[in-house]
Amino acid sequence: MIDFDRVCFSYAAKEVFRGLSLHLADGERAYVSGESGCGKTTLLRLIMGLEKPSSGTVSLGTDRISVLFQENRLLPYLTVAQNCLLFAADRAQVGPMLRALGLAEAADALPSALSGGMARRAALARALVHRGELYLFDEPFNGLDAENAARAAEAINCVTAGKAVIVVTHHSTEAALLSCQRSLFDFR
Amino acid sequence: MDAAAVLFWILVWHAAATLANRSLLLKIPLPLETLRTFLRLCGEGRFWRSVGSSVLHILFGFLSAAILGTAGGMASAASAWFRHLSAPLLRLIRTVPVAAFIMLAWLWIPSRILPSFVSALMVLPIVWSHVDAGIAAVDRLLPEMARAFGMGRWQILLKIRLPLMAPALRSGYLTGVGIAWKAGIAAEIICNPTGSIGALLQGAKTSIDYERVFAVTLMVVVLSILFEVVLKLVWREQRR
Repeated sequence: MIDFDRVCFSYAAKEVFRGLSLHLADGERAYVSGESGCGKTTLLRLIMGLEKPSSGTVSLGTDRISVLFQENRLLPYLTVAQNCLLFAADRAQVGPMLRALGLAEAADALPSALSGGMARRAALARALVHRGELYLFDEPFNGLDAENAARAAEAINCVTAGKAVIVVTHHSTEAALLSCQRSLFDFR
Repeated sequence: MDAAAVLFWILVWHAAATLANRSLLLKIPLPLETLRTFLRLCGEGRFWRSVGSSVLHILFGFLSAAILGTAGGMASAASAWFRHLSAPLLRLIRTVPVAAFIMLAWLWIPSRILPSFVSALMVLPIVWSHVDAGIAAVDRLLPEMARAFGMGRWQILLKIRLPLMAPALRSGYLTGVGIAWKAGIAAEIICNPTGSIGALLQGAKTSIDYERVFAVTLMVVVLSILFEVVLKLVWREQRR
């Protein structure tokens, strides 16, 4: 699904990767951990094609990627349901997904009216209804309490069964919740 | 607009006119006299022909400026070099008084085209700067998010960038409509194209018919508000 072959990448004078090679097979689940600012999000950006390596190659086995960014990135002029519908593979799945994440009553609310945890779950719902072949989750449980984190983990595991998944997290327990046993790359 | 506030200012107008009319030197038509003249004018075919002609002048000027200003604002947002190059021209248009532009343009442009030209010229920098600012205000993370989800360039423009820019565009176009009327009628008054609102105002002033001056001005106000209302309705329909 993902192949990095001797990838080098720098932001201006700061070198982030030098000769990075890694592989993720179809349907494989892995996590990425490390300290803040060490390049975890940059790794995801390279996978999404939002950054180009200065040398080396990044190969993807699909162009259908579902992403939960570190920031929620909800469109402020659309309601929670509309945010999901805009990217949904199947419109009929939006309602059940919002219910599964405890957002049924917030479906018609604008993002400005949501709490931090609700906005996080709305962004997660958008990623899950997109139904990609590859799922990228950047700190998925950020801002969620234990109950909602469990709810979110259940929805993620249900939708992403058999798909390739990469989770960026600071906590190995979160990776375990999402059945991501292998560390794709450890920045520590 | 608050009806009570409008009524308050009509009463102020009535009081001021009543006071002024006690002197022999000053004549200000009363609101009711103005309304009566306005209604009489509305029954004249020549009046409506003049109104139609002015509406076309201003509409053409406004639409030209909306198209050119939107394109220019987008080009400025896309290229810092172009923004730098166009800045002195926009500043010049903003600072030179409209009457000076009318006199200058009149040297080369026929009087029947001049009102449209002046309207467009005055509205152009307003729309341009609003579009430029609107694009700059778009949170770059949102189009990037849509790109990551596989959305194409045109879809991103239509479904993400334009709605994010919408408040700035709306404000630019609505401000522009009012300016188009002010500048266009000023041009008509100075260059006096036959069969226009400006020519009617000039004629009424020459014959010292103050009630007619006020009634024609009332029509300009009504038309300007009507343009604004239509633009808001079109905008609302587009946003659905």
